[in-house]
Amino acid sequence: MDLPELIKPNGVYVADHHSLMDLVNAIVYTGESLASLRSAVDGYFRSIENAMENSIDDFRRQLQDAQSRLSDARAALSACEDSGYYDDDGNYVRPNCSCERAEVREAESEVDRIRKILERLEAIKSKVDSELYKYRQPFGVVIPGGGDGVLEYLSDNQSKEASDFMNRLLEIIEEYLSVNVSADGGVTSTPPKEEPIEITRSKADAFREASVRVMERQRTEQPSSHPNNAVALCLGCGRPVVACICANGPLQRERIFNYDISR
Amino acid sequence: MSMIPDYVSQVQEVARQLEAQALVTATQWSDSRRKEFYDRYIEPMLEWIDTYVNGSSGARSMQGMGLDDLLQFMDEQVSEFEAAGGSASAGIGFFYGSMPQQIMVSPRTSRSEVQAMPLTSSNGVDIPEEQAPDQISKNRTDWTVDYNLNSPGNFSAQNLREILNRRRNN
Repeated sequence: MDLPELIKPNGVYVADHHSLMDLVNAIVYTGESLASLRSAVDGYFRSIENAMENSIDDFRRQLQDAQSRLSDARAALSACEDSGYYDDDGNYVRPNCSCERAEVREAESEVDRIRKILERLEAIKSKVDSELYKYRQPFGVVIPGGGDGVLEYLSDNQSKEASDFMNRLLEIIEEYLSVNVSADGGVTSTPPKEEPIEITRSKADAFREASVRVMERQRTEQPSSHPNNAVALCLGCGRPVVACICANGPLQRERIFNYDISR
Repeated sequence: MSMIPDYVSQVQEVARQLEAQALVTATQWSDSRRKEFYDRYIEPMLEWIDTYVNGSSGARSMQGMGLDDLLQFMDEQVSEFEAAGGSASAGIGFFYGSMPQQIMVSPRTSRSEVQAMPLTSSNGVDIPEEQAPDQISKNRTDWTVDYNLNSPGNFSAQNLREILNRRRNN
């Protein structure tokens, strides 16, 4: 991330503390979104695993049926071959078991065919299981976790720690600025200072410009960035649809202050 | 065309919003505490998200593939699985129907769909609501009979659009 040089490396420089609130909102947003995405990705992988497992079970049943038919065909062939007899002249009359023999061959071929398919399907499933096993390893510093562990760490730990840290910082800043903030994020002891429209607009412009910069960087640095780099967002909350929190409602997230403002 | 959900784009969008806000905030907050905060939280979060998408990088280690490769891998395995099962497999096309409701897209089209939710793209462009009726997944056999396209359940987003256009014109 290309950040501007620090204006006050040894002092305090906060030109607009609302921008810090926006950042803590973005962090909370990131944590919640990643939690939703984690659940969606997990559901997708599980649906594939289940579908594969069901299909393999189906082929196992087919193999059992085919083996049963083979067993019946062999029994029929054996019965046929045992049905030979000696005629009145003492000659052994060999029975014609060509049909039974053909049925055994056909049944063997069917068993072989299904077994090969099953082995192939189980081999594919095994590869999938192996990759998903790695993906589901919990996050660890010494032994690295898998992707799911990373998302869990980000959504459950890192984003919470970051937002707690930032909230403590904001508490100090707001006390310093003598701004009392109510639980719903409004100013209580002093009249709310509405931001002029120009400031709101310039903030939005700044965010848009930053987004474009980040998008450009993603395009050049990340091979997985998709050519059009666009993703569907909910109009209500502006999040990717998997991470939507507003169910298409007009809600907008407000910063929630959890600390005791009476201190 | 493969049917891979656009989770990678979505994760990148989340990262993009965090990084964009971090850049904006950095213009308003410019002291040692900011450096500490960004070094401790923002940079690692972005690096971990990048690792999640692209796999282990220099600074961050992760087991297995990044999400982008993993989704591609899963798609290939599903295709192989369906091909190996052949027409005898009860599962032909079943993955399509079993995918989570909210996502059903090809990754290179970045098209997501959630019920009747109005959508916009991260580029700010409205995405027209596709008139994809429920019967696509319910009456798959009819589609093949009527239009002789790919096997049911393997329709790409492009296939679906073509099907819908044909239906409208018939």
